[in-house]
Amino acid sequence: MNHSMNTPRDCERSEDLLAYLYREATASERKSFEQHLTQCSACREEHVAFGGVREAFAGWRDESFREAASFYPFTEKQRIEKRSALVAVREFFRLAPVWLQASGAIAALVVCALAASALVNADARREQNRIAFSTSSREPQRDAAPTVDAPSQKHYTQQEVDELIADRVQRGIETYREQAARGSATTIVAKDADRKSSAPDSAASSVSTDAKENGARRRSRTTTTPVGARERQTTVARRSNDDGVPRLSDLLDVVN
Amino acid sequence: MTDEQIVARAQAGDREAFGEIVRRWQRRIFALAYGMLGSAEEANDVAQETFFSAYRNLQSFRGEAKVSSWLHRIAVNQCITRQRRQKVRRESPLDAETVLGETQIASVTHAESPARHAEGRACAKDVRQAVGSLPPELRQIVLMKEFEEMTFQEIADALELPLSTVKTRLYTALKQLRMKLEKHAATETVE
Repeated sequence: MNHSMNTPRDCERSEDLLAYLYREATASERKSFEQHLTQCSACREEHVAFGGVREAFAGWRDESFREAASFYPFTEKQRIEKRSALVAVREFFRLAPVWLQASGAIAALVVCALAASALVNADARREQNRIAFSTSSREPQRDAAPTVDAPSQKHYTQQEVDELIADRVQRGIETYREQAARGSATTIVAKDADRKSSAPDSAASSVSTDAKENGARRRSRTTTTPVGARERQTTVARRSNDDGVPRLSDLLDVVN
Repeated sequence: MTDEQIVARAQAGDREAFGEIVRRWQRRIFALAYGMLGSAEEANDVAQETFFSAYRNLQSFRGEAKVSSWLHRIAVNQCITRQRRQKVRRESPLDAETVLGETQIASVTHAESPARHAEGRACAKDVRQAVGSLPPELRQIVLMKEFEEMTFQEIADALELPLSTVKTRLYTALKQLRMKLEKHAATETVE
């Protein structure tokens, strides 16, 4: 068969030509027909001509869709964008099958329950006057989390204990002085002043019992010089021995 | 959700579901009608009549064909009915060409050529006229292939025709359209 002399009627592969033209041929069919095209001028010529007709179809179709787009101004994409969430949900429940509607409703309820639980937990923490805010529902973490609650029982450090003891001692001394003054006892103040002039020890001067000195200042000094505090106590004890003033143990008894 | 599922809901009494079908397909149906009739107003009328007819015959749709094919078939029938009416009234140039026959297409088209604003639009009009002059059985397959972009097998299933018959008809349609368009182009070149 001389393919170069073929006319369209002579070639029996018109169906293959259409499948090739509309891209519905399989890979093997496509390869086979491409090989045929190299040999059959009729099919080659018809392939080109039909391609031109299809191009004309494309212009016809495009014009029709342009007209449709101008007649119905909103495209599908624009309609989706304009659609509100409420309308979308309503449409979902209207169009979805029953099982999908039920699943959606259950999922929505679960989400609402979780949100409500989180809110309840958050409120409870606010009622307890906590600064930390969390929606977590895990109670152990809540107990372990650092908080700024007012403590029910204060824990003292060793430094604070020392300060308190020194303060109590000072108060005891003052109490004793008052008692001594009332009972015409030995004037500790005068003797102490004499000692202060002879020994410029800052610790000793702080024990010079200025009754009006504020407690904070006293605590501060004692805190910075705990050794000095011990020396003061020793001094007081020595004085009580030497000058008839009470012993430290007596003072502590008074304090306690 | 597929068209078939939406139609099933519409058949069950959900009127809004059918509205979704209208929203999805009104532009394509309009385009098809415009492609056949060349008038936006008529295309809109055909689109409305198509969906009205589909809604009335909703229960007769049994899902054997695609919803789109069902709608397109109704629209094509609506267009053919209109063309027949216009043929009687002699109002439409397309109908005039269809009645006068293939040889007179070129002269009618040429008579309107001074009023053309763009070559592409003129080409679309030529194609519309050429397609309109095809026998209904060939025109239907051309529209299903070019507008609905259906495969040969889908067309064969929808029309309940052998696959080879569909291909043969389309081949015949393409050959006739090629001759019509080439003749029109030759006439324009000479004049």
